[in-house]
Amino acid sequence: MTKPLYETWDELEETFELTFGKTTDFVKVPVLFNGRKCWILYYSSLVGSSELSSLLMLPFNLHAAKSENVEQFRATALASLNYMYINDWIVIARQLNKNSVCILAEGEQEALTVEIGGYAERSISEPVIQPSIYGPKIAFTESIVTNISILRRVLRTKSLQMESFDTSSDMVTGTVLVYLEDVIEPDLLNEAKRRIQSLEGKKVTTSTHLMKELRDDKKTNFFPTLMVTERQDACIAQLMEGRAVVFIDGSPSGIILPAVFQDFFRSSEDAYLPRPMMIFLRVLRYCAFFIALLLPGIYIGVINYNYEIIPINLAIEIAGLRSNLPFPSVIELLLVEAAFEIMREGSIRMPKIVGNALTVVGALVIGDAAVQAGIVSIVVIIVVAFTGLSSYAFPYYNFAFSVRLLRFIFIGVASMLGIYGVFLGCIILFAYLVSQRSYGYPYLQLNAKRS
Amino acid sequence: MYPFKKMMAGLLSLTLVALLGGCGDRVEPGHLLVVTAVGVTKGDKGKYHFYFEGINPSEFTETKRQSISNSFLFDNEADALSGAISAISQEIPLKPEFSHMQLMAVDRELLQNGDYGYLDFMDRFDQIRNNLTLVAVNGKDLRHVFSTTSPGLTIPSFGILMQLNELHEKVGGNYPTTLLRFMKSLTETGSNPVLPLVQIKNPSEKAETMDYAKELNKQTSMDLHSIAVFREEKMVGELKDLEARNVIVLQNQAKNTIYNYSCSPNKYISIALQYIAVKKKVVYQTDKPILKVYMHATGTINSIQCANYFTGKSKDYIRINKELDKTIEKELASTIDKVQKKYKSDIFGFGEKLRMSDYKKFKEVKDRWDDEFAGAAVEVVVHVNVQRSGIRGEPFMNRIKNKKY
Repeated sequence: MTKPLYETWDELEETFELTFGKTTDFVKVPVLFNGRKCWILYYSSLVGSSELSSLLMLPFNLHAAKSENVEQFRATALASLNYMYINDWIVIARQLNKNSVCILAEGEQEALTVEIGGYAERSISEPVIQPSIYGPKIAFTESIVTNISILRRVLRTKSLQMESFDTSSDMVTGTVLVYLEDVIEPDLLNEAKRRIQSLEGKKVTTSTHLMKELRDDKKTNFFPTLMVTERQDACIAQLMEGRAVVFIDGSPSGIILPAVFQDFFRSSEDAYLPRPMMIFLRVLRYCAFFIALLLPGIYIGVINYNYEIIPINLAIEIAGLRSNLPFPSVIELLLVEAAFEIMREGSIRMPKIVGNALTVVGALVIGDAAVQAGIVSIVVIIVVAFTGLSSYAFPYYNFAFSVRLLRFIFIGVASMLGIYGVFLGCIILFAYLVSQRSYGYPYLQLNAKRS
Repeated sequence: MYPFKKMMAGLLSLTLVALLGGCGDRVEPGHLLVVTAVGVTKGDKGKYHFYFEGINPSEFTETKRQSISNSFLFDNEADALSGAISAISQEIPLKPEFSHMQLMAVDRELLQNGDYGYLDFMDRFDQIRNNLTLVAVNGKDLRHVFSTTSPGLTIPSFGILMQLNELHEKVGGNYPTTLLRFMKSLTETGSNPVLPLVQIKNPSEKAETMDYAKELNKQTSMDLHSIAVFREEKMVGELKDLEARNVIVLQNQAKNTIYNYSCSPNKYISIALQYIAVKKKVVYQTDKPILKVYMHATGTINSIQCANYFTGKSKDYIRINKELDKTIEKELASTIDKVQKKYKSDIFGFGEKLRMSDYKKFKEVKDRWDDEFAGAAVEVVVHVNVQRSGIRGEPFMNRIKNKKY
């Protein structure tokens, strides 16, 4: 037996302050409901004023005087809105945080909450991070409802199922697991559900936090085992293949699980291309992966230890370009790599208005000046630029991070052990990748089956 | 305790990597002296006189060019190649790098004496590739060979190699023998090595400067049309021009070549051969070996100087085939004959064929194989299939001749 909402009507204002604190966006409006005293409670930050007046206040003025009780009023005037009768202040607070308005009339033991919403939301826009030429120009937004609507617009089937989980501590921010129930493997579904359920009440409110909790290896993950996408077609393709998608309120991207190595080389756009072209592009992406990962390491190894394997004309050219330079090749490469990474990071953080101009100019000026001044050789600039471009060739941005970091490890190993070190590093890397699992799927297996 | 152990393991592996890693072998390309060729002659003070051709790498870049010579020559007298290398390391502030060495030139005198004291180091040293090209140099030309530039190519050794390869690919006039191959034929019974023989045509001081590249009339050039013939590891003589070409063809090394024959006095028909395949066989009849050569090739008519000799009909092709077969048979037979008579050395590899086909007999004769070869009868069968005549059928000579006024 829970405590009643109020003992006496007058003590309510005290209760409000106790429950909701002194926050300024909490609005309490005393009104008269058919002659009775009544409170209307809501957060002004979560309920839009136009929605409030059209959906609630206008019907209130018209029908409140004629209704005998709140339920009658709701049934006649607010029939189209989600509602809930609550007799617990904690639950009421939770409902108000979910864009609802609470109506509490004198003499009633339960408060009515109706969902109004209407706060300002970003409208659906084009994908920015993963643009494509042919695919739908529609990207997910920060609202779960919109995102699910984007999915169901295409997958109009009853087998598109979703389950909601309250992962934040106040049970407000929602996480939704979306899957096609006739396609997904039950084991995978259970595992996904188990992992999300274990997060309930753990204050997981952001996409990054959720990803950290959902992935397999929580400490060292050089390579992502989850895909993050903002594209509708990518999500749908993955759902049809039996994957699950997780959305969290406030994040404009879907988390696809599980994801293995090869998935990061498959663009949703591949489906629009002829098969030979698709294969060509995929091979190209694999090449770009190895270039981005190994090229600087191989460069250092070859230049410093295995000079004899360079064809003679190139060897003379490199020797000529490298003559009379102040730094050893490793230091030189690291300097240019660092400059490139700083430029890349700077261009992301820079205000958009100055950003574009400054990066191009910066890259040109610094690179050219460094070569002209005889501080670095042009070969290094070519290697770094080629490597940098290659690391943009993957359709999933989070995959590029791992390559970016591992590249430096390979440079370090190559500077000590030469080409031998690069291949030793490759062996260790692939041994690590083979040992990885994503939701039970072996990371390096083609057409992975759960094991 | 556990983190401490982990840390110690990490430290230990780092130390091991630092100690066992090849940091000591690290080279900086900017501090390397790329040696592209080495030459050997008989020395005065030391046993040998070595010449090294080094590259000025900055001359090959856009930005650092100083317009000085692209390569330079330095020399040293020493008893062994390794001694010469350590001596030049002390003279030059750069680290000599031999992994890109492409050419080795040996003076004729050393080869004639069968002196190979420098080759063991070449064979043994890990930096030197054993597929570098070996050439013999005539007379006292060695210093000039490494300082005479050729048109378009300002590094002498590159010039020699390119010329040699071009000669081999286009007309089969010579064959770039590698160190490995030379050593193999030196050590094996049943075949004697040959080497390309380099000499300078019209040597001049001028050709040894970078200004020679600016001259229009380039008189001085490398002559690569001869081969050095060996008998029992000593150089015994040389074969020139067409005879050298015939040897390369008989060794089955020629890819393309051109044969001419006369159709009427002082008028020639020239046929380019492709897809040349030569099979050799040695057959013993009683006690005398018979050297059998079978050659097959495809031909293209290059030029016909005789009028009304060829009309493009198939019977003309057959006639050309027959004439050409006869010509080549004669040429090859006479080349073999000359080698038999003059040098008594099996440079064609007949002995090797005998070893493959009749090992018992080969074992019996292997110690006196060169003499057996010299006394052998020769049978050459050539079958050329002339199939093409370029983009023209009937030669324009025919039309001049048949013009009606």
